[in-house]
Amino acid sequence: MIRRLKPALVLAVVPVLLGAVACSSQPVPPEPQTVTFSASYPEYSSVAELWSTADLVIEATVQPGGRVMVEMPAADDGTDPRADPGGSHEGLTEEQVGVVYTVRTVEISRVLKGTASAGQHIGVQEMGGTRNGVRYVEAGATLLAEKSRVLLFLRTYADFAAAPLNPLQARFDLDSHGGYRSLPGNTLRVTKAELDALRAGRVS
Amino acid sequence: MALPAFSVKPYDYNSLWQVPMDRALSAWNVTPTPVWITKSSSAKSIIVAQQYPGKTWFGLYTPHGSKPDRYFDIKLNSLEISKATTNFDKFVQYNLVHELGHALSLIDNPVTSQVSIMKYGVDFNLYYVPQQYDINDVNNYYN
Repeated sequence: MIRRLKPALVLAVVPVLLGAVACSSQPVPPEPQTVTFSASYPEYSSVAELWSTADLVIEATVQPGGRVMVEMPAADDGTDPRADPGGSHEGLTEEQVGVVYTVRTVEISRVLKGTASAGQHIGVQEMGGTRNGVRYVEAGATLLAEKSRVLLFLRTYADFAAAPLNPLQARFDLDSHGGYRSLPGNTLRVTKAELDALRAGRVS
Repeated sequence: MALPAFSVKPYDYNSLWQVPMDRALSAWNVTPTPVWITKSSSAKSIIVAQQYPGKTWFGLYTPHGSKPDRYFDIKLNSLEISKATTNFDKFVQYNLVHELGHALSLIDNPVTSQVSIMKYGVDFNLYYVPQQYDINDVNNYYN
């Protein structure tokens, strides 16, 4: 026996079916392909070494969003053969020679070293980001999380956003008591007392 | 798995870079492993040494595609490498040996008390060729 649907039920079902058809006709953006890259950096033996190398040491809060950028190699100027290896990269693509990174904005809450002021917003580089449907992820790096509070040891540049000295040792998360928490894998520890001593020049 | 024998596109830099970069390839090729790295104009893998201003890294290894047809690019940041040392040629070699280690499936900073070219903070003045730990690691992976 064929049972007839009650009109009210038909009315309820049809929009759902139409909705399903409408949804399935929407283009679904493909999941980005993920490429995990590895980077090597200078390693620092102590917080004092981080301090002396950094141009800017700040406590800051990470702001929402970020700008994905691609840096192509700078044009050779040939003046220093160590800094400028020469060579031609004709025929190589942006994917092959470019470097994808993301600039996050942080709001400075405290300046421990360098020229900046509390309340100022500055850009901070983070390697990786999504470009042309490819998500580039740095192996072992912990990304800056929105609203997180961090202590950063940075190198500053005239033409680029500031860069952490390295992604593992040059960043500490602030805990709820105002202390500093090292990222997993970072054996360096830092305290407010040590930073105060560095600021006062009591530690070399 | 990625293969231990592969080619990279030929590169042509000044002698301060070319010589230690070539030594890095040779340093892997002379190890008692299946590693054999050659240069070929048809290779998809590339090694570049260039100036990347505003960046703090020495070297980058980026794989593309999937195994066993994986290829890669290695970038050496000449600005940072040239600033960081007076023992320049060894430092160039060390960096490329390290990045090639990634192409051979080695990971960064292995947990071991032994010396490894893949460890952070290794003294490149002393260690700029694959070490016994690295050789064992490659052989364990490929044999």
